[in-house]
Amino acid sequence: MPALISPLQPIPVTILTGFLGAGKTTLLNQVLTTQYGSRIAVIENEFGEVGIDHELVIHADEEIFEMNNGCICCTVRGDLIRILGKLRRRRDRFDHVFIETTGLANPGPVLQTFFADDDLREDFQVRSVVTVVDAQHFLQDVRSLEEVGAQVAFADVILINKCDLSGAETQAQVEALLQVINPAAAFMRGSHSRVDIPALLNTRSFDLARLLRRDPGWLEEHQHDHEHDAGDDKKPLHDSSITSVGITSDGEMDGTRLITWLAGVVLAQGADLFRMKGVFALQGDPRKVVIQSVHHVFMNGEQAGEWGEQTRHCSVVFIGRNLDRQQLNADFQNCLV
Amino acid sequence: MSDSTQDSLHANDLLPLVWQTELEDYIIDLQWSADGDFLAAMPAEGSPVVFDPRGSVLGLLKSHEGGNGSLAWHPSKALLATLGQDSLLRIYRPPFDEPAWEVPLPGGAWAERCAWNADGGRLAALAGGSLIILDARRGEIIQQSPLGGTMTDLCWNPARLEELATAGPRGLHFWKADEVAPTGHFPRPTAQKLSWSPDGRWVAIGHLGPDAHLLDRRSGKPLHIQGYTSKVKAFAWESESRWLASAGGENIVIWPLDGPEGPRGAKPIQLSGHFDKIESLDFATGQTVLFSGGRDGLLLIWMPERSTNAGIILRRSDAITQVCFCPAEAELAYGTASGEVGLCASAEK
Repeated sequence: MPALISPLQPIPVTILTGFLGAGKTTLLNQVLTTQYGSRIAVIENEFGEVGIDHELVIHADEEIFEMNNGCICCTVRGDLIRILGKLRRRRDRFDHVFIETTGLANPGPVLQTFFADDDLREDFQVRSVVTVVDAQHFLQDVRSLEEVGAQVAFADVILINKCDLSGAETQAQVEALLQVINPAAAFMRGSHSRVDIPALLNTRSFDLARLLRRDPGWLEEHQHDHEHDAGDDKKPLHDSSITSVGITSDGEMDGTRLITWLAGVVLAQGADLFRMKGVFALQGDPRKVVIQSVHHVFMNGEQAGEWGEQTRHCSVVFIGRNLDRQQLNADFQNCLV
Repeated sequence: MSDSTQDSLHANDLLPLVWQTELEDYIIDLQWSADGDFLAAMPAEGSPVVFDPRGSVLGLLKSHEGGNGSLAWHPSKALLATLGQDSLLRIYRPPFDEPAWEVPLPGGAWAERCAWNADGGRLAALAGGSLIILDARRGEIIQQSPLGGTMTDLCWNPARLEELATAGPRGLHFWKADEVAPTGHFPRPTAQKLSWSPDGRWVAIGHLGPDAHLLDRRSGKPLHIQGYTSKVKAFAWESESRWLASAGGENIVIWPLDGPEGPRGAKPIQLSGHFDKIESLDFATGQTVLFSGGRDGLLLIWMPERSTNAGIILRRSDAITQVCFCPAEAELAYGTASGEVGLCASAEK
């Protein structure tokens, strides 16, 4: 049936996360003071000194509730539903929404909120989860609090901040560990949260170019998690069981087998699966098929164009706890035709 | 008029547009006073406006700083309550210039919903994580109940003066106006929208997902309604509580409730005509004529007892967000996402 009204473009959303003191508010201030032509609505949990009177800044209470009784991973933010519900009625007044989470928050419920509510799913598009990491303290923080690992696990973009306060060796260790936890994220380095703001805001929900890059072994090189040492004390770099499994192969997949497999993984392991991101070449389909999930929820499909002359291949990254690498690999291979 | 003529009739012939005007923002609330003498329209931001049925502006009310929440007419008098994100509750009476009362709600939280009880003696408000009930005659707060999370909706039992329900992240709670603790609980955490049947028997609950519940207050049994394509954003009751119209997505589902077990085993009437999600529903007063407004910009009329075909009252270039039938005359008010407010009225008037 014909649509009488042209659908509006979804409003891009950036979710900003990071441990206490990592530099989230500094980054937020820079985003708001950088004149690059976008009007930004900010939803923040903490009362920071934003002080930008021409921007829309809203404070939120962190009201997390479960979508379904007994399923602890299916949590959403009731306050965000209300606030975003109001913002969607004022969409002519801003171009981008920025959500700053608390330093101790697991960003999962924030992310899932956009897929739990029909209106939000339709009117907003999560462009990226940006996680700010304090290069000086990350190795210490990630051992003590699981949320720090979760913030990295959920990230599409990781800003390694405060590089001026940390040595090259520490930075290398931090980046190595970040790659272990989340090899699919795009990485930026900076000090005082100074980064290329337009590039940061325009980074899509995950670094597709990175995932598609024909860089042999880029996934495999990070599969030896839990084997790194943190230097002198020889302890594991992080104590949580958050890890990643990346699999890539040339060739095509059977779409039905792929969907059946991924749906089964998400259904059975959704509680432990923070993110799943994949780009696939499906038999008979000229497009690059992008599939993402957050816990139990599949996210809206991202457009990635067609394969054209490129070598058709399939790549997927699972980020979560208690991942069975061997089984995932076997199931992946089973989907190939 | 024959049925076939009725079905094919362009509804503009029935309810032509009489007047229209533009307010400052998206219309979030639109309500007639009980006698139909006043129509109040609330934009998301800016001044709520009171019109007479001819479209004359009778009052430009104070906007609520940060954004408006909702409005509510007294069930029998020309008293209008408004509240908003400034946590202020204001009561107006004719000539609708300055508020007769202004009550700062405790806690300073966003206030988003207000409703009078059936005799107008109580006025309830939701402000952040609190349910606040005022003695409307004295303008005093008589009850404040912490709810453990921000509530999304409230409604009074039209048939029992002191009973109301709230919806929020801890489920549905029932309250009595003079008791601080809830008197009942339905533990479904995703309740977003509530509507109580005029006879007091049923409470309809819309959730975040594409389902709804119908609670039978007589038996205490919940009926789970599934199969919507989207979350249920609108309910409307036929005035004798015989029909519940619900909209979750592009279609309307009408449940007959006149059997002993309500809708159990009954076949609902399904109405298809919108091209996008339906935002608002209302029955014509005392009739089984239904009106719907949607994101497709269509304002439709339905006569489901005769036909499942729709008539088009209006097409607009943006969403019809509110429809509200006048309790006294054959007049239908509407509001849109761009701030248009208008009135369609019977040509026979």
